[in-house]
Amino acid sequence: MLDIAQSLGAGFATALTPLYLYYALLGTILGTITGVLPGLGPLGAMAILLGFTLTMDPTGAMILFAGIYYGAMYGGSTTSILLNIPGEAASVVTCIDGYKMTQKGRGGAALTIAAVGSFIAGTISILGLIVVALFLSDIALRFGPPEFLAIGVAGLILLMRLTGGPLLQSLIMILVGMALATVGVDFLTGLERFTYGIAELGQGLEFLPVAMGVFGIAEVLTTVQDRQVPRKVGRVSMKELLPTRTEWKRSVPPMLRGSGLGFLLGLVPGPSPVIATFTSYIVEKKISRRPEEFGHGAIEAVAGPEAANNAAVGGAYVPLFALGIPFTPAMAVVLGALMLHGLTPGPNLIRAQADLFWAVIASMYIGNLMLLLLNLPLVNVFVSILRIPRHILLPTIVLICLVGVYSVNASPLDLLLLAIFGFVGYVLREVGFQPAPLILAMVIGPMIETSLRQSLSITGGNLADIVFRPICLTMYAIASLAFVVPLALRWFPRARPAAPGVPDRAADDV
Amino acid sequence: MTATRDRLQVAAAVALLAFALVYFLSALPLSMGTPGRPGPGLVPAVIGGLLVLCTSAHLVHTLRRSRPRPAADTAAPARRNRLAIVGILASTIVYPLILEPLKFLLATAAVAFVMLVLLSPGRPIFSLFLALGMAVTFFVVFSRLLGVALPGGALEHLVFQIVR
Repeated sequence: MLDIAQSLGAGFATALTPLYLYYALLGTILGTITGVLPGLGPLGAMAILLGFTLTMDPTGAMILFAGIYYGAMYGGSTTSILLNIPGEAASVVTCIDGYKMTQKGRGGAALTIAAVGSFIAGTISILGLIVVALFLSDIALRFGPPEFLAIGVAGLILLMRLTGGPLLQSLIMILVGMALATVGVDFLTGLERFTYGIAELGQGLEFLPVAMGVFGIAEVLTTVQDRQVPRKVGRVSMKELLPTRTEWKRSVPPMLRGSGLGFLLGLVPGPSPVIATFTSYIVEKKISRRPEEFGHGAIEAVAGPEAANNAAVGGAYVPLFALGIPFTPAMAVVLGALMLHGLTPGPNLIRAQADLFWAVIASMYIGNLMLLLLNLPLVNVFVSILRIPRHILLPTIVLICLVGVYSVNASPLDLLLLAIFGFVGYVLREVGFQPAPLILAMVIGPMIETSLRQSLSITGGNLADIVFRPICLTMYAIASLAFVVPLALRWFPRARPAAPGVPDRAADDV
Repeated sequence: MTATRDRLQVAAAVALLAFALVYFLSALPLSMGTPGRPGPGLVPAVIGGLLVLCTSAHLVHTLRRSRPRPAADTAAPARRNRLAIVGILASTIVYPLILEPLKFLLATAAVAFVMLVLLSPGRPIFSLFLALGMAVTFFVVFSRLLGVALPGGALEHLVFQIVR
């Protein structure tokens, strides 16, 4: 316990240095802007900025990304509540009652409750992240290749089930992602695979142009074809931001429930912040004494989901830090950033890079505090971002992608890959595919291949030795259940619970 | 679903199957190894095989779904800015080709100008100045503030001297 306190203290000492404070502030501001702008989610922002993090040290890059992730959750609630425009998928639920509150003249109070709820959830989830990540990484140090194989496979299957779209399409995206990950020199034998004589492909497909293409350029192309609806952007006075005593009283229990629920759901592969908000909404409505108010401006329906989506962010960091496995597409980008900086993700990361881990944890708390202190007074500034004309915003994003990719290797091939994957990502979205599983599979794919080949070598090719281990069996059982239960529910439709669906592009956003 | 969307769905399904077949066939010559010593071709072959199966099933499903539509459906007004989409994509492809010869400022301004004109036609002079402004801003932010090495010539040197 003392060790944790000392490490956390050292983390705060690092995170409070001017440079890291600047990165945290920059991340939270960029994240908030990302959250405010419809279409561009935290994942897109992280992918776009991935290249520029190379000019920072790994700790700075992680602090920036954490700020973006949290900031996007805060920013998304602002436009949901004031304008009925969900800036990102995890804020869709907030629109329902948040905007109704605005129509009743209580939009300012809803914003404050959302911000305070997010802060409380952020704090709780950071504590959860410390405890669970340390515990899990201790256990994971004893994992062998079969366990990592099982976790990777189960993670991809759960992701396939939870991302929303048709199962076959998700499976195709995962397989395409894994196929792309096999391009380049085979790490065990040194043989080239799928390079077709192009020397630059020997190092494999760069993650950066693929991620920026699929999420940055493709997002721009998708937005170009949407008709721009002129928005009337109003103002909120400081006086309106104060909730009444009754509103506070009604909000605190949903905030705490949402925090716990969000953190736990954040541990599950898939678009966890989105799922957490929907689950929190359902739970709050079920246990509320005034369920009839839901959908008409119930403060609980803002407090719970807003806390849940922020808490899920903390939960999503657990598998990344403890196992080195990203369970959400945004975490795949964070993992990509770690690898670009030459760090090896895995259960040893927390110990080998203790300074980084604790500084990021501390910066998460600082970032949350910054968001609470800055976002409410600056709410009108952030909302006014929606006034930026689309014909200026979109070319700016394209230029950031181009310069970002070029800045890493100064490689024309990377820029070509950016264009190709931008087009591929755009077409995939157009025909109803979600490209997020592709990116996640591209990151997890090499780990799965390594673990499988190492497992086969260790066991002499005995599959039973690979599967029949306690952790592996549990993982495969969870994966099988994830496959079977939805099919059973389809065959017996009466058993299907009535719940709002996850938005189609949820996985793309988070 | 419009006829155009149907065609796009089918084209995408065919492209995915083609990718799967090329990948699978390229994986087959790689060494599969033995169960106890798996070679570099094992995982790609499994992925390729599954990919061929899944993309074939997807193509069949797509073809079944895309049936001839009534004329009114196909004539539905499409709110699309195809020219802008093609232009932006072309800009990203052309950019690496012109970056070295034109250097950062001119290449970036040219690409920005094309995109601005495509997205907001009718104001070319404004777009030109905006594109130049964007290029200079990007150069200053990324080269000066973030330390990114960008291809530079006389113009870049001049801007560098001014903002120093």
